[in-house]
Amino acid sequence: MLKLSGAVLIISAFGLWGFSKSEKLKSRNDSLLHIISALALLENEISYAQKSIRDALSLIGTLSNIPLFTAVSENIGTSDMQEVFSSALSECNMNFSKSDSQTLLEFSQNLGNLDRVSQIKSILYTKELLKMAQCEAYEEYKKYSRLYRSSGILLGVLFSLILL
Amino acid sequence: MFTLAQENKDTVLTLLTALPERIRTCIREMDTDKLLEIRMRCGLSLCAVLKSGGYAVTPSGNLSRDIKNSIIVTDRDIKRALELITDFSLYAHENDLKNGFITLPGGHRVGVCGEAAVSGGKITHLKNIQSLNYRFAREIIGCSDSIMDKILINGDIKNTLIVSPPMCGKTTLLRDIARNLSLMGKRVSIVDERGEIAASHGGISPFNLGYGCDILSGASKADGMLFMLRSMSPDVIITDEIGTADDMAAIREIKKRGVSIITSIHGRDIKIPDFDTIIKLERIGVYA
Repeated sequence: MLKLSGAVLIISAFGLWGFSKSEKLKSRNDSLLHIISALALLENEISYAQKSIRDALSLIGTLSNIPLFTAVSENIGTSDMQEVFSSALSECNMNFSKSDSQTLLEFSQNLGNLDRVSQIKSILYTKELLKMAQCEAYEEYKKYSRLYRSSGILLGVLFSLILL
Repeated sequence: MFTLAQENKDTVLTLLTALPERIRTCIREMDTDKLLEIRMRCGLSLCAVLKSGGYAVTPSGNLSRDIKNSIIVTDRDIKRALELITDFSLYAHENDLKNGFITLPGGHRVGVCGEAAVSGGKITHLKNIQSLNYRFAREIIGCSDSIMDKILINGDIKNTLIVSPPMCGKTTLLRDIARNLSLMGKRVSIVDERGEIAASHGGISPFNLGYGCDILSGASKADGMLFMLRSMSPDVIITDEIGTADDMAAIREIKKRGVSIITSIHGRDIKIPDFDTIIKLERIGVYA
């Protein structure tokens, strides 16, 4: 009975590991999709409404429910814009890869420091980079999510058998 | 009896928050009541302008004509100041920069200067900004009380032109006239092209303008005066620093409709302001 419950525990632990890995892949894809649509909103707020970056990010944070933008809008002015973005990125766990975070940090470097045309170009460029990253994230999710889930359970079974 | 508005202290604080941190610390040490301007020029001493002229500012907030121990404004200070002035949104102030100034909450104005990019003979934008001039806006409630009996006679608002050199309080006087007329139940339309009279920020003026003022900010004076004439049916239109042919044409139109105009013009003496302008104004019966 003790062995059986031990095996169940091992299988559950490995299963959970597999599921969490798969969930991370899904979450990265979803986060990228959210950020891309939020950047489209930001583009509108800058080109038509001409809102300040603080107001625009706060509005987008509320509308699209992305805590990253709310966190940035609340901390604008406390330090350099790139630092504000960097600490907001580490605060809000969005499961971005290193290159996704790097793209956003590069975008933040010029945020608010450019004229309208250049600011819009910067948003469009970042959107393109994130779209490519999202395609890659989706492919990765499709390719590996089932693999992670099943291999988690299988590894659990294997370990249980070895230990038994 | 003039009284400095109670809110002036608070509005001075709003200007200080638009200064880079290290400069803000020094200015806080000073008596801001006497300050007219703070000038930041890249690579040069920080300068505070009082009625008696400009002084270099030391890190402890002392004023001196000797620049030896003064604070030197760096490129980084200018960059930080621009971020704070524009609320980290340079794109939202493109037009203001083209016109050479940005209005802060509280009505204070920051003049900017750098390299102008010109297209078709007109300034399209400003780059490499190197100089900033923070001008304090002050509200002096009651400064127009002694002249109100010359402006409002038997319920009629007389067309009025205020002639004065720069920095002597034309705008402050106009603002107080607007407040007085508004509190007397007159329908007052303010055309505030450069955001100096009402200094609206987010559509709200920080100054006491009574309950009868409608404010149009940002539009050119000529267009704005005609806009207000059509839209708000005013008793009087108040605007600042007229001078162009378009302004004259708009004033002529206002006169035709029986609406009064109160405005100002630069000049050291009542006889010295731009002569052509006066001639034109005399012809349409504004200058008296």
